[in-house]
Parts: sequence; structure tokens; C-alpha cells
Amino acid sequence: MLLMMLTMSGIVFLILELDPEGVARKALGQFSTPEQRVAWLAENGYFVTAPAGASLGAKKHEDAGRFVYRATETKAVVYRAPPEGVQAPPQRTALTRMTPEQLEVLRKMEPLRISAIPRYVKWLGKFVSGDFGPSYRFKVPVAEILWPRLKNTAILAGTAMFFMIILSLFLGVMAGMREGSLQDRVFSVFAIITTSVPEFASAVLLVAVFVFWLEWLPGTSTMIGGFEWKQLVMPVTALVLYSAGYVARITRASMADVMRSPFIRTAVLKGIPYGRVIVRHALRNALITPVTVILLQLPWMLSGVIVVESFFAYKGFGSLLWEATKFDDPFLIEACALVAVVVVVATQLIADIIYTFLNPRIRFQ
Amino acid sequence: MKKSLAAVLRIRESGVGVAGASICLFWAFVAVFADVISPFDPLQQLSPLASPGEAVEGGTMLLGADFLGRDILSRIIHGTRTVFIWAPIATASAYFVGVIFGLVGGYYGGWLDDVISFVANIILAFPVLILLILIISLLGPSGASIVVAVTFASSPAVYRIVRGEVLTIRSRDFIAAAKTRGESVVYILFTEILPNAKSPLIVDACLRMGYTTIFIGILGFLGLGFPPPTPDWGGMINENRSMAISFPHMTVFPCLAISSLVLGLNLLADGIREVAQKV
Repeated sequence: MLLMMLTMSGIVFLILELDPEGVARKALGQFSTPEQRVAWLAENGYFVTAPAGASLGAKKHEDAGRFVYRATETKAVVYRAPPEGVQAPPQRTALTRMTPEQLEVLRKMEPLRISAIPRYVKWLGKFVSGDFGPSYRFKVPVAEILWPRLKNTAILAGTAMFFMIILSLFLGVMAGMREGSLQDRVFSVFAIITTSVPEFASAVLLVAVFVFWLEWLPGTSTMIGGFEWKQLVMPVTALVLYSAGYVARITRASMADVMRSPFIRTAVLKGIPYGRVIVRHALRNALITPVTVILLQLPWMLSGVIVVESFFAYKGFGSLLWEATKFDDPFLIEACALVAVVVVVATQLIADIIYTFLNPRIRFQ
Repeated sequence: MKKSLAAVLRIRESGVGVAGASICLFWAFVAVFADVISPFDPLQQLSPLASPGEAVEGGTMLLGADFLGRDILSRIIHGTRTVFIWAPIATASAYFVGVIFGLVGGYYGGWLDDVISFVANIILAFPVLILLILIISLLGPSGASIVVAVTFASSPAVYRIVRGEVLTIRSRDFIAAAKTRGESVVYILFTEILPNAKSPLIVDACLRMGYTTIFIGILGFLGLGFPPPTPDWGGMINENRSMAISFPHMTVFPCLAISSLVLGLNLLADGIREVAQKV
């Protein structure tokens, strides 16, 4: 599990952080100058600090303990180190013009850039300790905006999961009980249609029917005037429809499989009432697969949540990630991606535990 | 040639398959003849906010116009091309990567297989859309980055299927015979193993094409797809969604287009599976 978490965050790191210049460009905007980006990278710890005073035969700053981070063609960004024992980022003191000889000295100081692996360790450590960095879009620390958004999404996804589980298990069991019957066929049509209509399409269609045509429900879920269940109906329905079809199909297959097995036939032939056979004998065996599938749906729900939240303007995790991507907010994107990593690993763990609980034949060695 | 045609035509044996194939062929036809059948130029701005059936100079806007006055029907018709060009490329690319890794991993086994499987499982466990968004945010929105993103997100699933098939096939007698004959590994992998694994792969390819269509739609919907003037189904929904409540025709029809194509692909996959099991 830990290895999984590390690898997953490693992949996130590879995608987002491997090119530090890209991160700086995102943080500062398209029109930032190379010098600004270098300065930003230096401030955020992407470079190894040069040995104090190493290249600073250059200018008047005679006091010891100044840092030069990196030189561009004609300029170098010079930083003053904080006084002894004070934890503070270095202060920028000057953007100094350099002579060619001085630049040569600076170039020899390369490599200033920290290589990827220590940078990954540092990066991960920062997140683990709860320091998510600033959000450039919202002008607040990422943590401040992330937690309330996650809470909102937990409400949305939790409600959706609840209805999805009820609906899909009910439909799946009903269809799987009598394979090939009318209810089974009707179910198949329902399942294949819902799995073919992605969330954004069902959201649009739902809005067309229930908001435009019938005028029953509000078309957005901004929750500006406080929390309202009414505003939750549409996003939840869109989420439930898409995932329920898939889980119900799995449930149906699993149920049909169990119903074909000899012990069910025996139970029926013994004269146990049919309803009791279903509830006592069939269900427990038939639910093993669907339960694990349902838990693994949770990460998938995070995908759906992005679409649905951005469509209905619901202030949650999904719309946050979407906004972060649209406005190139690097630390916010990273924080969101790592939240997803945690959710995935946690659900995998829970799924494993529940699986061993439901199926005693499986034991960890 | 005749034999493969006969194999393709066996889809007639399945009602579901016929329905799926017809839907797919319909959209393929629309994509090929987009220039001929579309009533207007998809980029021409005619009559803003026109409702379905409104007559303008040069014809009737059967499905109305969007907020810039571009004909919705023509944009949907031309959007078919976007889907029919990029979805197959992206799916094929995912298959190329997945099949090669699957063949190698399944055939050699051992630590190589363990490592590939581990990484594949991790990518599969991660929410697809977040993965796609991360990659697109790195590469910038374009057709090529959609291909890269879909390859990255989908090839592990292909890998898993191929690997499973290879594991069962590699212990069969004809593989041992080929080894005894002294055939090269490449020959064994591509002419002995791969053709024998084709039927689950074809079923999966149909489903995956559907997923890719959805992915492209979602990315367009989130504004991370193709740059604006391109007629793209997901992009059309995105451009018009602020008006979805007051002018639903702008968004409903592209949604129906996407859903019907995905439905067609899913039905086709079901049909192929049904036919393949009958043998």
C-alpha cells in the first residue's frame, strides 16, 4: 500500500513537477520574464543555494552570506541571506548587471538545479507535513480552500454513492434472479443505455427536461444561499445514472452465476421458500464481487465529480481541480491530485479488508 | 480476404450487433460525407440563437443555431470527423503500447511482468479523468496531447487483457512446437500468440473506442479539448453550456450525438462477444 502510494505520487510528480520551468511559468503566468521565473524557482527551493559569497566579487555587497542563484545572459539575481538563526526566505536585494568574467564564474557554479529524486522526496515531504503551498488563483493557501471544497464533495459523492448502491444492487439482483426473463431484458436495455450516456450528456439532458421543460428543479447548484437538498438532486442523478449501470451489470452477472450453482437448486428442492433462498443463500454469495466493485467506484466517482460539479457550478473538489487546470494553478493542481491518490489508496485498503471479511476463503499469508 | 469478410458479416447473427453496427456505420457515413450532407458551413455565423426549424437565407436550420449563429446540425456533422479521426488514433495508440507490453510481460513473466503489472494497476486505480487532466495541463490542449493522455490512461487496461490471454496461450502445444522449430520470439509473439488472442481484444477495442469518445467529449466539455473554432461535440457543449438552461437545443443535440455513437459501439461490442461465444 505504501509502495502504491509512493508510485502513484511519483507519477503525479513526473507529470507535474519534472519540468520546474513549466511550474514557474504556470505560477507566474505566460508573460513572465525568464528572470522572474528563475527568481521564483529559487525562492521556492528548486535550486541548490550557491555557497555563500562564492561569486560575489562582483558588486558592492561586501557583507558575507549573500546568495547568487542563477545568471541569465547579462543579469544575475542576488539574494541576501537572512541573519543567523532566523527562518525566512532570502530577501532579493538587486538585479545586478554582470561583466562577462563574472558571468563565467557564475556558470562554473552549475549545476544549481536539484535533481529529480531529492526534489521528489522534498516535494512529498512538504505535502505530508500539510504544507500545500499558495494558490495563485484564489490568493490564499491551498489548504484553506481545499478542505471546505472536499467536504462539499464528500456530501455530493456520498449521497450519490448511497443511491447508486441501492439502485444498482436492487436492479442487478432483480435481473439476475431470473436470467432471460422480461425483467432481465428490460434491465439490460437500461444498463446499456446508462453506461453509454456519459455524465456530462446526462447532465445536459436532465437540465433540458427538468429545468427548461418541466421547471421543477434549479439548474445550478452553487449553494450561494446556504445548503439546499433541492440543488443536489440533479448532480446526484447524473452521477448515479452513469455508475449504476456498470455496477448493476456486475451484480446481475454475479447473481445469475450464483443462481445457477447447485446449492441454490438444492435449497429450492428442499422446499425452502423462494424468497428465503434468495435472501439467505444467494445474496451473500452474490454480493462479494459487487461490493468490491462498488468501493472501487469511489475513485471513478472523483472523475464524474469533476464533470458534474463544473457543469452545475457546485463548489467542490471537482470544480476546484477544473478551475485550477483552467487557470494553471500549479500547487492547487498538485494538492488535488494527491488528494485523489489518498482516496484511491484508502479505498483499495478498505476493499481488501471487506473482501476478506465477506469471503473467508481468502486469507493473507 | 473472403474469409475475413465472412467473419465480419457474422455480426448479422446477433440482433444487438446489427443495431450497434448500423449506428456506427451511420456515423461513419456522416463523417465521410460531412461536406456533402451538411446544410451550412460549420463556421459561418448566420443567425444567433435561432431555434430549431428556423428558416434563414439558404435553407432551414433544422436543429437551430448556437450563440454565434452557427448551424448546430452542420457543426454536429463536421464534429463527427473530429471524433472519427482522433478516437481511432488514440485507441490504436493505446493498443499499440498495451499489446507490446502485454505480450512481453505475459511471455517472459518474472520480475519484468511484476513491475509492468504493478505500474499498470496503479494507473488503472487512479481516477482516469484526473490523469487525463493532469497530462493535458502539462502538454496543452491539442489532438496530439489527447492521444498521449488516452494512451497513458487506457493502455494498462489493454495490457491486462493481452497479458491474461498470453498466459493461457503460452503453455499450449503449438507454442512449444514453434519454440522447438527455433522460431524467433518476435515471430512467436506476433504470429502465434497475438492472432489467437484477437477475439477478446476486438470486443475490448469497441468498448474502448466508446470510452475514448467519452474522454474526448469530456475534455472538450471541460474546455481542454480542441481549440475553439473546431467543430467538436464536447466543445460545442462547453461553448453553449452557459445557455443550457434557456436554450437547451444548443447542448442537447451534441449530447445525443455522443451518446448514440457510444451506445452504438457498446452494442457492437456486445454483439461481437455474442457471436464469438457461439463458435
